[in-house]
Amino acid sequence: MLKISTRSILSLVMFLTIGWGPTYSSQATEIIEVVGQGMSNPHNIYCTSAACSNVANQISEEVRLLQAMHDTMPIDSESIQNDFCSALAANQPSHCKQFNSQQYWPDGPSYFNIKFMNIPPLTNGCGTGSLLEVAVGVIASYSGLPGFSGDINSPTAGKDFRPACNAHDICYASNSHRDACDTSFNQAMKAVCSGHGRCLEFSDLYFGAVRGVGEAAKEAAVKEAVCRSYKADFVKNC
Amino acid sequence: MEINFKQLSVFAVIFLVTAILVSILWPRDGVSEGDWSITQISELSEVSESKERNQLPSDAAKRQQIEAVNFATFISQMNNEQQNAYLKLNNELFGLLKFSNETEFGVLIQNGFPLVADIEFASGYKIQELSNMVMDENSDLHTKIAEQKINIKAVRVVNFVNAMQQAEKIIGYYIPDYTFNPEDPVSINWPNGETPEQVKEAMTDLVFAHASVKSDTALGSLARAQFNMAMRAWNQERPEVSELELNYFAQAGRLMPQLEIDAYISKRYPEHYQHYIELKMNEVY
Repeated sequence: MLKISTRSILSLVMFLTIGWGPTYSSQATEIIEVVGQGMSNPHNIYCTSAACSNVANQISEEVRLLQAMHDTMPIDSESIQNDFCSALAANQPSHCKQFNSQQYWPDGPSYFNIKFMNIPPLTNGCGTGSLLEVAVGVIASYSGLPGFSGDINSPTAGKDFRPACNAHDICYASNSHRDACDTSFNQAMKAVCSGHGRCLEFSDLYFGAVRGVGEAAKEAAVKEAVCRSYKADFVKNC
Repeated sequence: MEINFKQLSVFAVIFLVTAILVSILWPRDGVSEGDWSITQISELSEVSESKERNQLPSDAAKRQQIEAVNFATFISQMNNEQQNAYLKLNNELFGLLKFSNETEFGVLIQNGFPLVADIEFASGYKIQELSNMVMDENSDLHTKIAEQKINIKAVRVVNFVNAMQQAEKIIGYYIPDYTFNPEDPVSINWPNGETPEQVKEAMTDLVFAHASVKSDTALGSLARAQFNMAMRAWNQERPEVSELELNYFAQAGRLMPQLEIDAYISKRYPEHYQHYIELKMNEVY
């Protein structure tokens, strides 16, 4: 039988609240309790991803139906966990499979390929591979540009855009509105520049880049965030 | 001589018919109605006599042999291609460009308005190349500036306008008649779900052209407002003028009251007019 605790409802409300707007909090955890006959304590499943919640609810419903048909059948926590992990592995979001670990580890832990998925880090400053890849690549090719320090994270010496870039990465991954993320990013860089002319030119370039060619990065950030949550759920519960 | 009422009526009718015929037949190749809010036939008759070039307050103005008291006379001396370039410029800058005397013309040039030489110069380069040149203080471009052959502020604006036009044209290969219209953003579904490389390159060019255009001139500020509006359309976001866009309008309005941006905002975004005025009072950009 499925019981959703008050705490999990609060967590869900918090998630819905903070998931709107450019907030940078991590996703809240939903706790789904699965209760079977003969179990002294319910089996808790901790979910941050939709895939996890769906599978947990499905397992809970199956347990409930099984108990209804065979009310004396003991169901232990371990069998619930095995069924859950097997189902969660089978329901891996298809776009996350590209990150599965391909390394072979004899006698390694179960579901090694999922538990050790290689997902790009949530933040990586303003460097190549992030949302500024296109613009930054071109800037790098013009490293002779006066005022360009040669460091993508700090294109003007002494003016560090890395915190602004990281906050922007997190904002995109949180599925906030893109224009709100971009506006905050612009304001953060402008604050760093504090009126420095060449620094402001670079901030305009970075801001223009996220507005003009940031769509793919936004989509990738959201997809990666889903995979990150999925992996975290797997590691936590399996 | 006595003129009775009947004769007077005949004269009046002849005068009216003549006026209508003149307005229909007046040559205006390349100038479409509505593109220039200031293009009026009456203004075309205001062509001034030759004056000394050094009466213009801008050095840049001296470089082009023009007799300009308003836009209509300014572009009427040009070929179709040049006229189209100016029409595109005005369209991209919200149709706000205007001047009514040589002093205002000089101020306009100082605020990034290009002369033909600037437009022709910009057309000789790739957009990204020129964007970097205007940002690079050691480039050949600055030698030409020193020689007063071109106006760098104007080149920046022209380069941005070219980038906008190029992006719309290339996106138009995939989505016919595409324009960056923030009030009616077009939903985009690319073939195979992937943004075509050509489009990516055009957008990257636009990003660089935007970065190189500065808000220290009225036309530069208007260009920046246009870029942000275009990006709202491109990203299919809310059809609401943003704080940043209002800031750029305010900056342009501060720098060039003659462009009547106050009236434009009042008419176009009446609900934001008061805030625009406040922004105009408090310089941010």
